Amino acid sequence: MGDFGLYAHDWITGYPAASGTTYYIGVQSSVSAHTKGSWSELIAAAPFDGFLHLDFPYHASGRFMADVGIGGAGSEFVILANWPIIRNPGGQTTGFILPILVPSGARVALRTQQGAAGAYWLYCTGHLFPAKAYHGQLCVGSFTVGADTADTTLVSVDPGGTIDTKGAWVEIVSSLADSVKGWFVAGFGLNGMSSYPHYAIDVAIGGAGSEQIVYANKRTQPFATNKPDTFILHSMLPLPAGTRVAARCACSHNTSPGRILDMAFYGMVG
Amino acid sequence: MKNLGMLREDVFWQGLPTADNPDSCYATGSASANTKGAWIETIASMPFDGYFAWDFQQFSANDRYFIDIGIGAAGSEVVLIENLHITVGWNDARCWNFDPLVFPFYLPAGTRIAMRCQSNSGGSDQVYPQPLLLRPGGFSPSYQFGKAVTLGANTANTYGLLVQANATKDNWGAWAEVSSSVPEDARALMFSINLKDSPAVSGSYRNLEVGLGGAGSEVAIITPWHFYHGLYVGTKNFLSPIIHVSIPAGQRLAVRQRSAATPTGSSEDIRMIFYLFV
Repeated sequence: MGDFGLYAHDWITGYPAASGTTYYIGVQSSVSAHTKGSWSELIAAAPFDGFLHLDFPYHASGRFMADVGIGGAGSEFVILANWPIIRNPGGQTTGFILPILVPSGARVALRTQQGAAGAYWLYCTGHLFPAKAYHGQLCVGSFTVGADTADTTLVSVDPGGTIDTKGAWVEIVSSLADSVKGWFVAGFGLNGMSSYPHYAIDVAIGGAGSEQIVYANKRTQPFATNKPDTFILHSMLPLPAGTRVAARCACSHNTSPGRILDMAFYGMVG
Repeated sequence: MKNLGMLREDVFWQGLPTADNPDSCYATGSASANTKGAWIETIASMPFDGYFAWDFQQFSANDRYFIDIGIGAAGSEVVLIENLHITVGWNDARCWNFDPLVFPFYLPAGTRIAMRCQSNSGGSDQVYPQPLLLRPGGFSPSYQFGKAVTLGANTANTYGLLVQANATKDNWGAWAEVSSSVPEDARALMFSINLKDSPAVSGSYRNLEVGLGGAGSEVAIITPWHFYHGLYVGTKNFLSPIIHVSIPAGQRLAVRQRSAATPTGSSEDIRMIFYLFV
């Protein structure tokens, strides 16, 4: 029998906690469009060093960009900024693991903005995994490139008018300000179109005209004629400061603007 | 400059097929209900050492599916993981996006990968996954497993283990036994969640606990896991990430759940399957 020293009670702790009867926390955008609302607490004090699996089980219609922060109320430090969220029909969204250390005792909170005025709700749940369950060295923070908080959009990547053919490369990051241990490219679509379009996304590094693909053909497909919901490309490929990052995509339909995807870069640092 | 020792220009994700139409990758069920179809080659030959990942984006019909992933030459496939439970719901909700699931099986270059499936209605239903190949490094798993043990799958009806809700909302249902004695040491698990039989008439918030120990003295090791079933996705399922927990062979494994909604009949009951990585 192997070493089972890791076996312990409360290995995975969900938030809100099982001791209550709440199933999510509500995070409300400002009444003003494109403006972050107040922070909402997800974890009062992490019981151990860990990292988060985050999910957004439901939200009002529209597009959101959420921040995740660590620290006391009023002095939250943003560890993930402007994460894009558009729900799948019926509410299911894309959960993801955020490889950033949440230290024991840390308070975790979220805030969000929305693409329209009206104080919209975003629901969030979290699952704290022990740090020792992570397969590598956890990061300590991140930075975001390509999110436009002034209109809650990301960088537009247009596949162009030829069906099922990759469009031109679109620069997401001209030059990374810091080296990253890993990264996400995540995004959504702002417009729906013909039924069940499918997309294929490439991400590359390198100068304009000499891009080298590091993530090829990630598919995404919205439900029916809905807007493309959150898609995530994650990679722990480290990139040095100064790296240029670009993306392109193909789509099975060429109706504009529905064929266009918005995406941003989330670099993991530390 | 920070430690960039992992930097290799060949570390990347490769989505397949490389053609722009993704529907050329699929698994087909038998014409008979609840019967596995023939193996369909997904990847003829791994182009590098690494991992296989997927997400699903399309299905040919709104049914319940069990999918096997195997490796090896045609006609002699060896199952790596079996009866992955994918259910698509009503209202033509036949597509599904999620963060790619990386199976923690290290596969050498040259490995052939195939899939097969069954569905509850037969008719040679098809699933169209998005296969992804991942080179080692970063997010790729450090735990390398030889296989997965599937618990709770009933291939006779393409259902998982019934986990009933309490008649009173916000109260835990009874523990449902996944295994009276886990057959092998496991260091990670994954689970699927499906609604029981019929679509939800409205969305409901849920959570569940996974416990070890004898009946009546279960100790929760995952508490709680939150999930949600939406209106339009009805019976559509949920797959957890791969969760690193250590479960010695011989342990009793159980699960219970609760709902924020008052049940109407069996509306809040779920079906679950567990996949232990050994």
